[in-house]
Amino acid sequence: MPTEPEALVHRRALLAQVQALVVEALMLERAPVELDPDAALFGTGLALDSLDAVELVVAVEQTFGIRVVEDADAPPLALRTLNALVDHIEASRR
Amino acid sequence: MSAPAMTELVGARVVVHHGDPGNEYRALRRAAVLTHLPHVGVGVLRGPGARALARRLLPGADGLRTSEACHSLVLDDDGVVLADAFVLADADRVWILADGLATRELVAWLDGHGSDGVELEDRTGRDHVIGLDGPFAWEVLARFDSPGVIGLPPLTFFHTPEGVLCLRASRTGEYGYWLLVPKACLKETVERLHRAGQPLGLRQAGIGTLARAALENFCFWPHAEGRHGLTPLELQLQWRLPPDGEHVAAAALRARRTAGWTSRIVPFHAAEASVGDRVLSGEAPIGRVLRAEPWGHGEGVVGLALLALSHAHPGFTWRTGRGELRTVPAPLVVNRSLHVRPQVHRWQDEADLPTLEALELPAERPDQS
Repeated sequence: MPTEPEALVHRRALLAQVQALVVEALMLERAPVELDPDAALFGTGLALDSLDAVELVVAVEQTFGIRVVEDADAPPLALRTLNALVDHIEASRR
Repeated sequence: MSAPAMTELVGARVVVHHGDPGNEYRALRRAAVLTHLPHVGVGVLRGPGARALARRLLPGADGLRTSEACHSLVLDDDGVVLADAFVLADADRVWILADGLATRELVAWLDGHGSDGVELEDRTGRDHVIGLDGPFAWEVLARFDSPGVIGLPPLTFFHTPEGVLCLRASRTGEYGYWLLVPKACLKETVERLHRAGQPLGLRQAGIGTLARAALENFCFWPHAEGRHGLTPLELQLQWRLPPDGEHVAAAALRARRTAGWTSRIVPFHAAEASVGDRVLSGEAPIGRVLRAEPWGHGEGVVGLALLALSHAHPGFTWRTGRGELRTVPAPLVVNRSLHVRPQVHRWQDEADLPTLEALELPAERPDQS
């Protein structure tokens, strides 16, 4: 087995946590592992809508104690993909 | 300017670029481009069982209403992707437009899975697909047809009085449309499109331009990562599989999930990399490079690597025989269509709108150790 950097272990765990959170918050009929980390969340991909976005932002902000949307008029890049969201959570915690 | 480049895809001669790929790319990201896609296979199912058959064969085709489409995949029985596909529910038929299979191959695939008495039409030689892509592609189409096109929702379609089928479908991250044009009116349609697009910066482009944009936006490209015998699980295309859908490969993919699949594609940046390079963590192999192309916004190359699931995360540095390879988050750009709203903006406002923003690569990760 290759040696795993500690950051990789954390990243994997955080992605799994976010996948599970999205499934639960949006009541998706999918297993968390079915949410591809680089697939678009809105438009194509999972094709979430603006109501889903609100639910997702609330869930993430409550769970991780961070801000996801700073500018209500700007498209939240942190919500483009699950990996973008995980990046945002990691950056907010640093 | 250089000489135009051609390639062959599923038996069709296709333009890669018309001699100036840089300008074609800039037009795609700034305005709009028209691309000929003669290799796209066209299948038609007719009769009362047509929609049921489409549902049984193609993931995502459940519950389509008339004039709606889905972005699907043609899969073999093991779940391996054969083609990128759109399934369109028309009033009296179902259209299947497949990038990755010629019309004859698509018809053979449909026929091989039992047609349930549904009439299967072989339209070889009858149609030609044209792509319109770019942040102002919708305005070109509005001038070509009517202003009502501006409100056309994604994955819906309509027919023009001349018999051109217009589908809103993006495969580059920009606004995008596929036009299925009867060959009898192809020349006239192309001329009208160019006339409509000329004041809007429309250029003709080759598929190399679309492929580059698709890579930057992490949109599936069937002629690159789609040629490695992978399933939607490895290709991060699970969103095209309905959670409870029963299609030709549903059982195989369920079994694969249950058994636990082992790898997925992830974008990367490297000073050097080539398709087939082994990717290593220390001395241990963790994957291989599937796609590598010059990073047009800076040094080095970008591409896609198929890595072990445990290592397929952005922001980590691995190694190939040529040097370091850093995984990066997708998409690699913030493109203009994210800022353009057809209900508000017009081409004449384009100077006031943000231009394409490429992410800085490689993204540094301070805590890999």
